Amino acid sequence: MRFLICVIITGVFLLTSSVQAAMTSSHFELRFDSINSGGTDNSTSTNYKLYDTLGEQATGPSTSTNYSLLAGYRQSDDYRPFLSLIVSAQENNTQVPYTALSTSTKTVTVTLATSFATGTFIGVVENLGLHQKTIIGKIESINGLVLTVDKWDGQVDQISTNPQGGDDYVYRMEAFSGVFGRLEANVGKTTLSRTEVGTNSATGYTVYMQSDGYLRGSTTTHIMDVADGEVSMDSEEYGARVYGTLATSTGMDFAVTSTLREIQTSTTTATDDRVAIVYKINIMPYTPASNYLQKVRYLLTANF
Amino acid sequence: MRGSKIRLLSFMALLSLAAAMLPANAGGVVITASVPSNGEIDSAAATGFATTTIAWTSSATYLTGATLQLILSPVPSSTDITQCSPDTTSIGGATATFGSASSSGATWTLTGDAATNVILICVRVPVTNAGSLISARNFSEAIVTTGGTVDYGAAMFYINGGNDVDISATVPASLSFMITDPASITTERHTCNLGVLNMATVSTCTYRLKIMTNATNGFAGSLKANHDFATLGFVTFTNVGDLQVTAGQEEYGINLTTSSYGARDPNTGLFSLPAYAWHPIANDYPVPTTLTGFVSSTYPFYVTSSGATQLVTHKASISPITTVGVYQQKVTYYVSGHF
Repeated sequence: MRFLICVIITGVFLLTSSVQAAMTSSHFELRFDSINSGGTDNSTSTNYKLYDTLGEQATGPSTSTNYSLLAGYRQSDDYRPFLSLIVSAQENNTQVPYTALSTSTKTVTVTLATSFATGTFIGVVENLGLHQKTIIGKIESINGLVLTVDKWDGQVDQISTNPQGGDDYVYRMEAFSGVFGRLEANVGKTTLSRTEVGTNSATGYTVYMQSDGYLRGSTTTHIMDVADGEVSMDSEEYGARVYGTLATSTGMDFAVTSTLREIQTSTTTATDDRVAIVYKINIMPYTPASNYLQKVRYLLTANF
Repeated sequence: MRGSKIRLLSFMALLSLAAAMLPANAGGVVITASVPSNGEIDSAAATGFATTTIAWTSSATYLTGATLQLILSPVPSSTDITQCSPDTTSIGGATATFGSASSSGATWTLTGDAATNVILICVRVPVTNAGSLISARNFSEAIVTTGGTVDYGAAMFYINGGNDVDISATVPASLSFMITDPASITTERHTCNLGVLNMATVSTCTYRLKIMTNATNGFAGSLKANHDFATLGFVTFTNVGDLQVTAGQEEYGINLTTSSYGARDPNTGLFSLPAYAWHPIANDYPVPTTLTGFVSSTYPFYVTSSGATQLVTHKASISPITTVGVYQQKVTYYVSGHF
């Protein structure tokens, strides 16, 4: 009996040490691994067949010195690393007031819903201005004037659910331009953008932002970058601030410069990780008249 | 005999276990988009493809027969990707066969061992129309290697500024001008009375010119008198000719003291630069009857105190033969912004 056990043990080690395939180490192959709940293996209709998986935890590839693991139901040899980054900005001409907001039911009630559609992003801004509160979400459904989003990101814990003061607005966010528009001295203005990241990198990702230079009207004229951590009245300043649970560089308004700045990071896989970026500006009477432009790029790198 | 077999097999098991504990060649690698820079595809060749190159450092030797699989996600076009021409793919000094290209990726198969090195994979991504970029905004190029060393990773590519937000703002033009009391730059003043002249002193009167503009290239100020300093009967006072109005001599002139600050320093944003005086401010000059520049700035100009204004002093002195009378003159100032 002991002989048989030894033969089995030896065989196992010999076999496992010779496995060489994608997503394996030279010792182990784990084709499927999942802590799962719910879902069915497949569902069919006349035209479609769905293989769904629910409730997975800690999915994606993981490696150590000796092991390579692709965790998750239906993770197999055909592992395909991917990255996805989408950015967009608020559309000023879609500004509408909102009358009610719920962070728990993920709804916002607007006064006019014609600018919004399911699947598009919105930004909710309370107390529009340099000290506004901002959240973002993706519309899942529209029922009359009530927009329901998939989730809220940004200043979810700080925004009031009882809008007051006539300066609370909702914007569609599907543009690629952040337009401050016509500025007036000591009337601070903002414009909002957002990110959305997807990746199956089990060790996460990092998003950076970087500008092509100053917010500038010419080679010799630019708006002064914020240097004191806050874009405020009575000074010419321009900067940005990032909000969200995955945001970095938080707690201050920072200059948007040609130096890479990390603004978002995660140490796990992502399907729709988002942060809100609020650009802020204030000018003085002497700020040179001009049309100012700046290109801000967002760069995503994986932590594979 | 049976005990020795058991010991032998136990030794083999331990040996296998030890072998199993040797480091495996598997893991994520950092993939970078080296062409184009930052992975930003802003132009495409007229042939209808954009050249892309990703790079990474292999974690261990890639052995002969190993494959390098390139995967695009999402698939940006239905057209197959192609090998670069000329091909700049570099696989650790080894050669590889390009094959199995599709719209979603391609595979290279090594025909020799590739030492641990920087790997460069170059492919051309199709566009929908020749010379124009595909409509998908962003996609990733991933690598998965097989054949002993399992490296994987991905890099982002951005099409047509798909990762950009263009920030813009408009600051409207402004230009203001006020002639003020010399002691209060918020109080307008449009007279300058030299009073009753005498031979013992030089009589003076002053006012300030408060000029503000956000014109990018500053402003220019000029002045013109309606006529020389004269009585209604056209008895003309003698204009200063020696740059200095002197008591006891019939002389009339103007002194312009330009500000020492108020112009915007483009480097700091502070209004620390002086206005430019067209003449040395220590001298007295006749008041011109033709339009003549006297002050300018090449930067936006802002006034917060009298020191940023232009101080104008009219001066007159008489001699024993100066004709009696009430002398008058209207001086008009013009300011233009250089936007």
